[in-house]
Amino acid sequence: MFRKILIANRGEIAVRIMRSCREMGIDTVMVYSTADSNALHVQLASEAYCIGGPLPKDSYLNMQAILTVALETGCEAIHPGYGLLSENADFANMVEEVGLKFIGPCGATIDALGDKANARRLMIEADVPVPPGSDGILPNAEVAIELAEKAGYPVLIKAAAGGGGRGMRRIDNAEQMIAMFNEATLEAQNAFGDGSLYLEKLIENPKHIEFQILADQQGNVIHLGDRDCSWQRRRQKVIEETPCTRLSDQLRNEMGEAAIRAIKAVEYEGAGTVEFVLDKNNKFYFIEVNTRIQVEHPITEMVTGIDIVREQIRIASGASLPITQSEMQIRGHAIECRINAEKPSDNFRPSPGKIKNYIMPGGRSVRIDSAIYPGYEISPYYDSMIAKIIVHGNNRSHAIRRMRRCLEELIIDGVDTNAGLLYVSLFEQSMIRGTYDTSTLESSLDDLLEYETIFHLPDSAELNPEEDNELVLPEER
Amino acid sequence: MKDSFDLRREQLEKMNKLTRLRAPAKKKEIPADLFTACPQCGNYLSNRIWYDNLYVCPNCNKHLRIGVKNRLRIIMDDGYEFIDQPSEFRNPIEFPGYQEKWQKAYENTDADEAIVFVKGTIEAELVIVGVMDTNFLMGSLGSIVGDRIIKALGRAQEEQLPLIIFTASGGARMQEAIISLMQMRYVSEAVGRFQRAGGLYISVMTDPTTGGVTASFASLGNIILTEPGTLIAFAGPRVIRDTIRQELPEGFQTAEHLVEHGFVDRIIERKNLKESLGKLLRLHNSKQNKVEYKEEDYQKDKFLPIQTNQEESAQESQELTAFQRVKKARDPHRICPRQVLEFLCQDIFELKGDRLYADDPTICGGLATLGGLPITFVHTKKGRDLDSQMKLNFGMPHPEGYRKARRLMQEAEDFGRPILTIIDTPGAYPGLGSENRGMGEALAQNLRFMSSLRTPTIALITGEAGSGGAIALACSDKLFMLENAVYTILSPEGFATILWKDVSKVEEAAANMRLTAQDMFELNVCDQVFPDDLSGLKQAIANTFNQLIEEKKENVK
Repeated sequence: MFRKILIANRGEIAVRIMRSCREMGIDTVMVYSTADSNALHVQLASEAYCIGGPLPKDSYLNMQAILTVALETGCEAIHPGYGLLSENADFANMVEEVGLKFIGPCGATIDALGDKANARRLMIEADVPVPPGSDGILPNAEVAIELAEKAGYPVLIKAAAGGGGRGMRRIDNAEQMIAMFNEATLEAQNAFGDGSLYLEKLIENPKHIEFQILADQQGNVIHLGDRDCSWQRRRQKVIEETPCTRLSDQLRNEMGEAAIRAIKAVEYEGAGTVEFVLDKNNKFYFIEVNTRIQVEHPITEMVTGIDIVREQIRIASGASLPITQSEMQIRGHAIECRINAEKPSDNFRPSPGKIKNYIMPGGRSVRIDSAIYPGYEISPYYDSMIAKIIVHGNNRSHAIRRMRRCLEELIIDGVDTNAGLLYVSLFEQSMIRGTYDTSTLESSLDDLLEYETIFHLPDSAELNPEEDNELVLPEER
Repeated sequence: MKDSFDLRREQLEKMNKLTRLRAPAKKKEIPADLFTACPQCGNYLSNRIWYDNLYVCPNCNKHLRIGVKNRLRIIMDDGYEFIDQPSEFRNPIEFPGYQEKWQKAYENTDADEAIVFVKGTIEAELVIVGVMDTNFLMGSLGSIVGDRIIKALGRAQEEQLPLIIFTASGGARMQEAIISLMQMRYVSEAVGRFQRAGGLYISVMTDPTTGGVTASFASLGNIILTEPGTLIAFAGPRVIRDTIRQELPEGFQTAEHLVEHGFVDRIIERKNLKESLGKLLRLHNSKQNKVEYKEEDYQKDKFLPIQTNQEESAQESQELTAFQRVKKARDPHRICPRQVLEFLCQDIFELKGDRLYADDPTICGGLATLGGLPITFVHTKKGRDLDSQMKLNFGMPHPEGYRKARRLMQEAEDFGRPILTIIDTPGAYPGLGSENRGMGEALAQNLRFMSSLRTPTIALITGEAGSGGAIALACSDKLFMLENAVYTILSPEGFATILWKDVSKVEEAAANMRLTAQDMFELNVCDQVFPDDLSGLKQAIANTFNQLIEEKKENVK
C-alpha cells in the first residue's frame, strides 16, 4: 500500500480523496494555485504546495510542476480526481515514466477510449450495442449522407478526438449535412488538432444511464450498478440518482454485462464509468467510457457501501477487488444534487463571491461533499460547483423527501445558487415519477424558473433599508 | 444569519402553498382539560399535575380556586354525604333574567347552589362541612345559601357536631338585593346561637372571600383559617378603585395582610389543611378532663438549658444577691417561655390576631395538649439575638397582644379549657402607638377578665415579670415562678431613679424592693418556686390543674 499520495486536483474532490487517504493511513500532498491559497483542500492539508497562477494551465494542468512536487515530497502515486488531468493520457504516461503510480488506467487505455471513433469500433467488436452510424472516420459529406439515410435522421456528427459537445452537430436532413460538415470539421480541427468526424444516429430524448465499474490489475471486473444522470442542462448533470426506475432487473443485468464487456475490451484498471443512452423503447446504446472517478460517484457509494476512492487506491497498489459481482448488493435509493454558485434566472450566470455564512443540512443518511466554508471566496477561475448533497433513502420517494428536506435546511449566504431550482425540480411531475429524460429539465426550465423566483434573495436595498436612509439623510438637509 | 433563517421561512411558506397536495392538517384544539397556566407565574402545567398538586402551583405556590368537588376530595375522608335539600330556584324580588342565569350556573357547576353542606369525617372526626363554589354565581350569598347555612348550623347544634365552612364568595347576591343583605343578619344570628350553645365553628376563608360574606359568617369563626394568597376583603379592590379612587398597596387584602392585621388565626397551606383541621377538631372534641402525663413523660422531667454554667453549684445559687438574680432573669440565653411550653405540652397549634387591629408577635397563644388535656396557652416572647429581639420589641407587648390573649382566653372559657400562661417580659411597651391604642384599657380589661374566669388558670414566670404588662397575664388561680425569675412593680433601674434620682443605686434598689421568687413566695404572691431546670414542674402543673378542675366542678355544683 502507498504511504504518500499527491492529489492533483482542487475543491471538493481533492478533499474527498484526502478523506479516504486519511482513513487509510496514507499521507497526502496537495497542490494549489495562487488563487486557491485559502481553499479548503489547502487548509485541511498537512502538506500543500503552490504550483502556479490562477489559470488552470498555469497550475492544475502544469504537469511538470505537479510531478516535481510529487517527486520532491516522496509521493508514490498521484490521484488525478476528475476533470483537469484525470483523462490526460500524456500525464498518465509521464507519471509512470518518472516511476510513480497513476491512479487510474494507463495512458494507452485512456487514449483508446478517448478516441470516440476508435472506442465505437472497439465496442462493436466487443458486442456492446452502439447507435447506428459510421464504423470509423467519415471521409466526406457524401458518405455521411449515405450512412445517415441508412440509420435514419436525425443524426449527430461528432469530433473523433473530442468531447464536451465541441465539433458536434445535429443533422436532420441531407441539405444540413452538406452545410454543416465542413464547419464541424474546422471546429474539431481548431479544438482538438484533429478534424476527423464520425456519425451516429441521434437517440432523441433518451435517458442517460451509466454504470460504475471497478477493474483490478488481476483482470477482475465488476459493476456497482447504474446511475440515472438524465436531469441535465446543456449536457451538464444537475441531479443524479441510483438505481434508475426505468430499468428492470433483467435490463440492468444486460446493461451491466455490456458495461463489463466494454471495459474488458481494453486493458483497464481502476474505477471507470460506461455511459449509455436508453431510448423510448428501452433499447440502450453505448456512448463512452469515463476513465476516472466521477462527480456523482457518492450515490453509488451510498447504495453499495463501497468507498470507490478507497478501491481506486487499493487497485492501483495491486490489491484485488473486495467483492465479486454476485456479492454486490444495491440497498435503497440515493440521490445527489449539485449546488452551483450561479444564477439560474440570469441564464445561469456564474456567481463568484464570498460565502458570508452557510448552514449545511445534516441528519440521518445525508452526506455533504463540499469545499466551502464561511468566509471562503469562490474563485471565478474554476468550476462553479460548490457542494454536493447526497441522500440515501429506503426507497425512491423516501430519498426525494429527504433531499427536499435537506434543501429546505440549506442556506448559503453571499452568492446566488441553484438550490432553489433544485428544490422546485424535486416537485416536477416527471421527477416525482422518475420518467424524465435528458430533455426534461431544459423543456420545463421556464416553468421551474418561475417557481424558482420564490427563492430569490431580496435586493440588498431591501435587506438594509436603514443603511439606505442614512445615505439619503444628508441630501435632505 | 437570523435574517437568512427568516427569509428561508418565508420562502418555504410560499412554496408550501404550491406544493401541499394534501389538505393542511386540521388544527386540533388543545383539550381544555389538558393544560392550565398558573394565573400568577404563567407556569404551564398539565391538569393531571394540578390535580395531584391539589391545584397549588409547584413553582410559585399560588393556590388556585377550586370547586366543591376538589375541595371535598382534599378535605374529607371518604364516605361523606350531602345533607342539603335539593335547591329550587327562587326569585324573591322578581329580578329579570335571574332565572336564566341561575339555571345556567345550576347546569354548569358541580354544585346546585353557591354553598353545599356535607356530613362526614376529617381524620376520623365527625363534622359538618360547607363548601362555597365561586363557579356558581360567584359564590354569592342568596337566600338559598342563607337557608342552607342556618339549617346546617341547626343540625350541627342538634347533633353536637362542629361545623366548618369554606368561604369563597364575591359577596351578596345582587339579583336578590335587600333579601341578600338580610341573609347577612340571619346567618350571623344563627352562628351566634350555635356558638352560645357551645358549638365549634371554624371558618376557612378561601380565595376570594369578600363583601357580605366577609361581613357575616366568614369573620365569625371561633377559629378563622385561610390559604396563602387568598383575597379577603369587605370592599374588593375593584370597588375601592371605582368608588373612592384610591390606589391600593401591593399585598393589600391578601391573607398575609389580614394575619398581620389580626383578623385571621392562621394561613395554612392547602396540603396541610386537612391535617390542621383534624388537629383542631381533636383538640375540641377531646373527652379527657384531667391532665394525665404518662410514665415516659415524667422520664424527661428535667430541662437541660442551652448554656450551663458548671462552676455554679446549687449552693452558690442560694447565695446570689437580688440584683444578680435580676441579671440572670434577663439573660437572653436563659430558658424561655416557648421552651417551657414545649417541655410541658404537645400538639401546639398557634392562633393569631386580636380581631381588632393587629397580631402582636410578642404575645403568642393557641391550643395545645397538656398530658393529653386540651388547654389554651399564652406566652410572651423576647428573642435571643438582636434581630429577633427587634422583631419582638425586646419582649414588650403592645395592647393588641393583650387583646389577643383575652380573645383566646375567652375561647378557652367558652370551651371549658384550662389556661396556662408563661411570662417573661420587662413590661408592656411604653410608646406612642401603645398609648393611642389604649394600653391602660387593655391591661385593665385583662385584669378583670382573667380574675373572673371560671376555667382553671396557672401562670408561670420564667424570667422577668415587669409591672402591669406581666400582671395582665398573671391573674391566675395559681402563680408559679422559677427560682431565678423576678416579679417587679417596675425595673430596679426605674425604681432607683424615681425614689433616689440615682440610677447607680440599682443594686440597692433590687435588694430592697423585694423581687425574687423567694420574696414572692414569702409575700404570698407566688404559690410555688421551681428550679431553673424545671424539675418537679410537670408534676406540680398536672396536680394543680387536676385539683383546680375538681374544685371548680364542685363549685358549679
